[in-house]
Amino acid sequence: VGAPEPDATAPEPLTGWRRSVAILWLAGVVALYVAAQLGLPIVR
Amino acid sequence: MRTAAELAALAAAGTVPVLAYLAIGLWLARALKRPERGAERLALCWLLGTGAASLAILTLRALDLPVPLVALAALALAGLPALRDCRRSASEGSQRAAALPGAVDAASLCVAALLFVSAFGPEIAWDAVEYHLPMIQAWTDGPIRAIPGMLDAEFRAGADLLFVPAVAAGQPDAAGSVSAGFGLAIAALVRAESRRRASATAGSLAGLFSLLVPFTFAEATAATVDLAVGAYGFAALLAADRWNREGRIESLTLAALCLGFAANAKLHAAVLLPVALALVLLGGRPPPARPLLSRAALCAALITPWFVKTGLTTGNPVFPLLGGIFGYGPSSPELLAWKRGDVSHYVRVERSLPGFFRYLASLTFGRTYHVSGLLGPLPLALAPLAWTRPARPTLVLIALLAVLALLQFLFMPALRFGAPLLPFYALAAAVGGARLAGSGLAGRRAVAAALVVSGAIAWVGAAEKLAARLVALREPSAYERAALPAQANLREVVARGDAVVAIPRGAVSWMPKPVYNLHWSRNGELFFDERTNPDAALALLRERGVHSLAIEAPRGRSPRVGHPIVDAWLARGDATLVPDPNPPSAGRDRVWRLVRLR
Repeated sequence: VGAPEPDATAPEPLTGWRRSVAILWLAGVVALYVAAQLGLPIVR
Repeated sequence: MRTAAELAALAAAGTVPVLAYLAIGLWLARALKRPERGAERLALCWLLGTGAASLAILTLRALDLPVPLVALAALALAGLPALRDCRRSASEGSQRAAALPGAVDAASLCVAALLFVSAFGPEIAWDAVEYHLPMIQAWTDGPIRAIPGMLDAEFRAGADLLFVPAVAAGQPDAAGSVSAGFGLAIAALVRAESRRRASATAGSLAGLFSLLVPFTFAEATAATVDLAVGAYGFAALLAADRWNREGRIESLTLAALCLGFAANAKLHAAVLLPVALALVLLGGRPPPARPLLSRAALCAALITPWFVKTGLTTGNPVFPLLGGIFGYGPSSPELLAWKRGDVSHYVRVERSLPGFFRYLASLTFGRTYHVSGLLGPLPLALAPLAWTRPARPTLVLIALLAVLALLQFLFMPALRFGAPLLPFYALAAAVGGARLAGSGLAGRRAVAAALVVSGAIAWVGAAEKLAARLVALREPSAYERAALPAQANLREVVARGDAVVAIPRGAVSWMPKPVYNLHWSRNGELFFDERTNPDAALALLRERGVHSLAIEAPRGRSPRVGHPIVDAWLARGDATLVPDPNPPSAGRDRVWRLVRLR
């Protein structure tokens, strides 16, 4: 049935512009979440 | 106010069955030579034990045999020797030396303990008191059988049957501990798989947030079955994925067992059978025919008892499917079509591409009932960051999960119907979070800030509910009345009526007397509105032994209640309105009135 794949594979870190975009995305989502928790109607 | 002895009885009814199910699983895991250790092994033992126990209870209650707590306590004790299988070896233990994952795990244990104890609190979840507990009470008072006027008793109820010991012990509030067990199992499985795919820290955090997420909190303290379906389904797909990655035949066995248990818990989980099959056939390591067929036969054997039960009670072994061939059992094609439509449309979402994205956003930010904000922000914030060029097994898994998510959006958009998918979102978030945290100080700080903020919000919301439930352990009635005031008032009216008491749409069936629920979705045979002739409705209710009705009416002294059928009966003298100078509130400007049938 073939050789097993390695089980534990550390995920590749984000680098360069991808890291910057990821930080902005994360901050944006969490900020919107906080706003929604405070009552701002983000989406129905 | 509960006395100490009553609290002890409640704790016993909530704890003993859980330990007994776990004990069964511990021995099954040993027999199956499962390699897992620690919390992951306990979680798998829970799934195996509950699945097997459910089939045993199905057999016992079909024969009207009891499921006493004393016997379950003996079973629980018998599991103790197999507990040592959960211990890690010395080399595995050294992996736990890191401080942060250890601290997070300790926090998870505290949350898990609080969640488990708060599950003993009064039952206020709508579905639990509308049909899960009433059905189990009926199957505790008598054998498992068809119950005319209770459509839910004709669907699969494998996870519901796990509530039987608590209900039989007279402690229905304790039944929620079973759901807590499934919530904890999901968290342990998420933690273990995230450790494999990301890191120890990411795994521990994913486990903690799986417990804190609003969906888990809502479901884990209630006598409902969605977390059970979620846990079985998640474990089945994980096991199929592990076959693809490792090629160990035991993974196929575990997948078959969990698929069978999932389909026994809820019929719609049967969709996971072809999905798991596609996963192992397309995942790069198609299994040889013989082991595949033998596991398919194992799965078929597990789900056969429910086909037999449903065949005996409805005449249709796959009820409510294939009615044109096997018949519609106690229901009708029209009513079953309404029920399908109800599942599809009671959560209002627009079926379009923009609608799909709005639906996804609503899971985090929204205000749509049964959907909104139940996932918290982390899946949306972190899961997309996990995207990289995946290996073939993971690519196939992601593709199949996407198909399932689309099917859920199209046909059953309430989030709970997608319970097997949700742990995968946590898994993806763990991988995404690990990638960003591994990218440097700025990434680590961003992830830490997001976790602290979302964790604090989740904990504040959860702690308030937990505290209320813990206080209510001693004083349940005030908590129940505050949560469902109209139902508490209705119970007083039902208590005054002559059984069987019919109760209207918008009422729960968990009542002090036998009731007939007039909601078509619950009774499966009667549209109690202008679609039905008053004479036909009266004849059916008399056939069901109904002698009185509790019904919502406008406040005031009107001799009518504002319902076309009941008013027709009142006008003709087939029924009388019981005088009540101060009828209890049914919410807003409505009151509960009692109607006696002649």
